[in-house]
Amino acid sequence: MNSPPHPPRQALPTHGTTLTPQAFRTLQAMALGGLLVLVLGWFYSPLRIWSNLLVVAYYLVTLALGGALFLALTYVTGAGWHVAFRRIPEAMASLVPKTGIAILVVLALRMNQYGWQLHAGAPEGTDAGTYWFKQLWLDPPFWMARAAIYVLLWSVLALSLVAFSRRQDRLNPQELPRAIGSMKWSVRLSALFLVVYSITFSLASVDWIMALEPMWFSTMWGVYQFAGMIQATLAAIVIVGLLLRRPGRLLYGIFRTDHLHDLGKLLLGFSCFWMYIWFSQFMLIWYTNIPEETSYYIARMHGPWGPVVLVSVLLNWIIPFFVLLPKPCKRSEHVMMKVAVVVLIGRWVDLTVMVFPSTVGKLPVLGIWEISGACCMIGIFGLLFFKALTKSAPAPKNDPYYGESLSYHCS
Amino acid sequence: MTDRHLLATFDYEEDLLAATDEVRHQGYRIVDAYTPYAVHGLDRAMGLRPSRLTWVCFLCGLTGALVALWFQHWTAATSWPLDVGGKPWNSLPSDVPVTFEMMVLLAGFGSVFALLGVSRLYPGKHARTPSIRVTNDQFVLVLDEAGSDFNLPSLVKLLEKHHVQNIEERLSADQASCCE
Amino acid sequence: MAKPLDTKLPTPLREPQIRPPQIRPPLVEGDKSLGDVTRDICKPLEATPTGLWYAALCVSLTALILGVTAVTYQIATGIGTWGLNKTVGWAFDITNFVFWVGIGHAGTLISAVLFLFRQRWRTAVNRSAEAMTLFAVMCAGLFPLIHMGRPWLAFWMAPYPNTRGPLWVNFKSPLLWDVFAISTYLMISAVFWYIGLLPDLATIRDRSLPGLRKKLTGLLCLGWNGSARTWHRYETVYLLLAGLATPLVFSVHSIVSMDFATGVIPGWHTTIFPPYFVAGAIFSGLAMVLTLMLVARKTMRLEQYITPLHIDRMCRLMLAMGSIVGLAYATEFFMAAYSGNPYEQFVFKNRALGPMRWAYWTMVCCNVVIPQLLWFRAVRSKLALVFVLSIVVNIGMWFERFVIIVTSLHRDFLPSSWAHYTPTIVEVATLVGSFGLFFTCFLLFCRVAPVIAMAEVKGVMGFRRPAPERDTQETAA
Repeated sequence: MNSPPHPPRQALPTHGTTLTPQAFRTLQAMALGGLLVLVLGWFYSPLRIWSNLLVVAYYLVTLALGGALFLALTYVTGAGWHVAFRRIPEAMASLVPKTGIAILVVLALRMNQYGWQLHAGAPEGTDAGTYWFKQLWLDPPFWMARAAIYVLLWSVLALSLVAFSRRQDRLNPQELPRAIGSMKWSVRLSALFLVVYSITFSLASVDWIMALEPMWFSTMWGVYQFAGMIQATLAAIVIVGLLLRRPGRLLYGIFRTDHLHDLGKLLLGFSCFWMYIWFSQFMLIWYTNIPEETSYYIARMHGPWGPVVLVSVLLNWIIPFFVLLPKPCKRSEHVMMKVAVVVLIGRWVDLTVMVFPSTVGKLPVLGIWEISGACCMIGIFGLLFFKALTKSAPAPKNDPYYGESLSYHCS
Repeated sequence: MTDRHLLATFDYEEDLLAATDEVRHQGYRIVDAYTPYAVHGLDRAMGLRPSRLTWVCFLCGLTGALVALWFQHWTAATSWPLDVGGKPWNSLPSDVPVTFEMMVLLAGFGSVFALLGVSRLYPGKHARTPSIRVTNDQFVLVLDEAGSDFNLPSLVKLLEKHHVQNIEERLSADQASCCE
Repeated sequence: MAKPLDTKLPTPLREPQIRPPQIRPPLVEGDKSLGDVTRDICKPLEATPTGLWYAALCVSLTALILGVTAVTYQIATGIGTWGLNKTVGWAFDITNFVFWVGIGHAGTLISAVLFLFRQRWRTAVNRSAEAMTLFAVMCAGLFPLIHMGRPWLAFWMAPYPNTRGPLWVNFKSPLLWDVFAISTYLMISAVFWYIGLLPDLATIRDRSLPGLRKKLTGLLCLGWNGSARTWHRYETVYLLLAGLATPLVFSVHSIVSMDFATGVIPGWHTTIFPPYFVAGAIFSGLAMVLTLMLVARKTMRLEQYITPLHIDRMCRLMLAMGSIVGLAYATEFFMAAYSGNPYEQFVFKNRALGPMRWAYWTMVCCNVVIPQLLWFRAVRSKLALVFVLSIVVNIGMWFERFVIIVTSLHRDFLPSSWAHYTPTIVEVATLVGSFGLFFTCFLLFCRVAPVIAMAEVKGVMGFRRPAPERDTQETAA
């Protein structure tokens, strides 16, 4: 009864490849080339380069953290469907320390970008007494120390989640009770992760992105960042899952169409969630029309940034929603691949709209710096991710739900 | 096609599933199956096509949304324009909530009424069940005894392999009387 | 009649069925057969009601009559019978409205959201949770009607061509969005509930001896006969309804929150309100489901269907929702401090330290602090403790709405207009009456419809032919 069941029709591969050597070389070229261009650009326009670096680093750290979030959410909900491809989010989660250091470096490059209006004192015409907290909160040393603490906490928890899962590989496959016991510890750790994550990530998103407009505030901000993050994470899982399920690759015969279908449903759902959160924040600010709140949207929706905001809505919601509604589309490799790419581009546009109007200015820019930023991001993520993936067995075969994940039917 | 039907009764869903699948692949005609609950995978075993009710739902939802959007725009900007809180007459963001609700309302009611219509369910309809136990704890597979390749002995053998509990032949017109 | 073979469709069933090892605990205890499930769940319907049921009905009816009296009095006399004043123009009535809408949300969460997430334990509680949704939304709908003062003119809220212009309703008003949201929610919940009832009504029809019960269920089940073709379409529509009800449940409480958040009043206007209200609504609704289920499983002898496992799952969900609500409280405070806006800062200082601080701290204790006990399995498995906790959460969530509405209003921009608010006896009687209505409806529901969705429980209980080699073990055990 405890013998691990086999997937229908296909034998499990023992070892598969991740990427072709050519693809590896392309990724290397993208990462190095992109980084080189950005470093050169620093002498040309530091602010614009820094904005690109911030988008890249924040995108990377949220993808990595998103992997950990996916793991934690599936553990605490007792999910079994995803176990077969769990190494994908695990490999993403194991990148939290590296991407975390990247964002710390980027933040350290321009600490004074945040809250610069306040460093000299309270804004004119306001009661100085009401700004003491903001001045304290955005004080560069305190602000930087907090960032380091967030990254440290995330790294410890994400790496522990991954380590707990990899420890299962060393168990004897016949020992179901021990596998269940180890899973229970993962569930507890995940609960802890979720508590820490929800507090620290809300604060981090305020510190790193919202504070670029130091006079603006929105209580929705943390939820908005969470929505974008989980949507992009799902899209990334879909893309690497599809790459790795090709014949001869690492997850051939493991990453099933039912997994793709379920990921498609989640992507559809979280696209709608992103739209819901985006719209709620926008609509409440638009409706009340209070000057200190509308400043954020006036900078982004009146003028040349307006069409870019519409593009972000198109890519993050309209396309995924209408394309993924029919069931056959969620089960189609081609459609899912394209939608996932669209969503990842949408996330980039969304982050650009958050960052650039506050730093670079009123005119949307798309030049060599932005393109090298995107290339650099894809390259770094690809290299680190596929390297992390090879550090463990391709599938957590000793997980109690492994059999369920390989045999369930998605309706 | 004849009006002679063969009713095979099972006690377990797995028997019904396996029998249905095998019977269908042997080329027998399946009229229907009767189950006390939705048996997962029975649609595939019977070879039923995916339901087209999803399209009804989508089109109803689209209609609801478009009509609501148009109506709000027409009342607020054309029929009797009113200045509310200094907002423009055609304020799209404030039209979204009602548009969404109307979309859900029409999509939901549309698909439910389509279900009732397609399945011919209406108040007071006389239920045609092969046995009163199909709404309790029995599974019945109904086969059509049509076709030159209908071979009763081999079919019975096949069904017995799948732990059939009872096999009986009925005229389809008789089915109505059996639930009394 | 029979459709031809569709060879294009996949036939995974032709391969030997894989049975992954059974790790998940069973959802129904006591080795039930399908027939046992039908009998156990139909039993309370077919027996005469117990004395406890009559006693409960008497109490609920008394409360309902009290409420009807209070409502009749306030409609005849006017809204002046309430404790409202110029500063606090919204208080008790709206609190009750938001409270009841929130209670309804757990029903849709359990029936729709958990269905989409394949949480199969939902089958034990979804029927009664959906019924609860219906009754809670009915209670909620009453409060705005009463608040109109002239409820017979309620039809003015419908956009119909009229002789006043035609003067259309104001589609830019969140209060009108509420009208659409609540009525859509009520109708979709009712349809969802009724569609779910069809197979069970057919089961009762086929069980009953000829008589009124058989006639009525036969009429209401629309001729359901368990045909696989109908089941196939039914499953599709059920999935569609779940897919529609999920965003609907988000939208309803979001729109309720917009009644406040589209205002410019500090404490009301904050962007996090929509998701925060949704989480709070589900939180309070789960608490109410737990309260009702813990009583129902005992009095109706359904312990083997609503097991400690189900209670545990609901407790975990409640903990998660409570923590989200706690995070939202913290976010609001943080942003008030961070914003530098003196009015925001004053409102939150006033909430925690002002004259209404008792309400604020009741809310924090009941919603955030005490539910943290649910982290411990020992607490989640003590059903008496869970029952107490569920009531504590209900109280806390009522106070949350009271705190948001009243503390934001009672000290406004002009200190000379600051005022206090105390509810009158009429308002309290109306609240008691709404509880009376809710429990009366629920008690009657327990008598006329199966409280557990039989057809759904049968589908998830994993009832299989015992494997031959395990036969001996099982009989020995």
